[in-house]
Amino acid sequence: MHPGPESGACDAALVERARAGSAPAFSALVQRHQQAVRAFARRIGGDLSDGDDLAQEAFVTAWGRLGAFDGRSSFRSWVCGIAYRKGLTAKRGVLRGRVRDGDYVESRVWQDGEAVTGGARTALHKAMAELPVDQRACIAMCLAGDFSHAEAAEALGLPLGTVKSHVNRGRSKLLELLGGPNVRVA
Amino acid sequence: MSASPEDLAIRALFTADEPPRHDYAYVALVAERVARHRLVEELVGWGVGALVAAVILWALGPVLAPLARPFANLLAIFLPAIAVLTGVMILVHPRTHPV
Repeated sequence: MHPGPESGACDAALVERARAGSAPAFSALVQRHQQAVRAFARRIGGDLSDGDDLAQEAFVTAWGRLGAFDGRSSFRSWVCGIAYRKGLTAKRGVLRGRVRDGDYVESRVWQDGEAVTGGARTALHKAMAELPVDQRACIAMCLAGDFSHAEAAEALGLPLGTVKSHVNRGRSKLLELLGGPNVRVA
Repeated sequence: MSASPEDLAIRALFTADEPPRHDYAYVALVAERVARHRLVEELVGWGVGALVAAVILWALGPVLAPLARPFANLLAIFLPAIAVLTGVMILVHPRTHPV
């Protein structure tokens, strides 16, 4: 699959075409935003493949609900919102993910280049697993990702103040769990 | 708002698990699931439509039968053709979406 004429179009134009039934336009949207949505889903799900599945489900649901997308938020934050709600609906899965996180990060074999930071990242995964889901979602969007607080509030259906406080509290807790404010990437 | 060194360090740790910027295999997987979803939706739609049409015809049967009797020979020729054409239209329908 190579970039087609859709690759240069803006999100709004692609959404419009996808709404009219254009599969290539929707694929261009997926191509453009899969990194952000998958990264978000991986961080709230705590597992790479579960996160990718959750993101995939969110994209499929987004296709079916394109008519409901009003363009007030960005397309990527809208899909992240769908992924978040799906994660919450499958709460048992998410909770199971939290329990499993510890085993996953401890059993994971880090690549050569990752060896230096592997320990810190293991600690980070564990620390993320300790956070409540909504706090984790805010951290995944605003601290780990490049979403604004307003975007996160819109996507997660939370008041702006709540998102800000979740980010602050989550950040403090992460720093605490990672060994104090002098956290470093080796 | 500029990020603090701690925030940048945390972000760097998160970045290591980020999926690739371009992942055509993943996009193809999503496209496949969307296509399957769309097919199922259309089949259900046509199935329900066919069921409703069958019920209506069944209910109107006693009224329509005497009216259709004079054209029985004509209908015997054209009805199968109409059925085949309708089937072809149903099959072609998904491809009429703009690409």
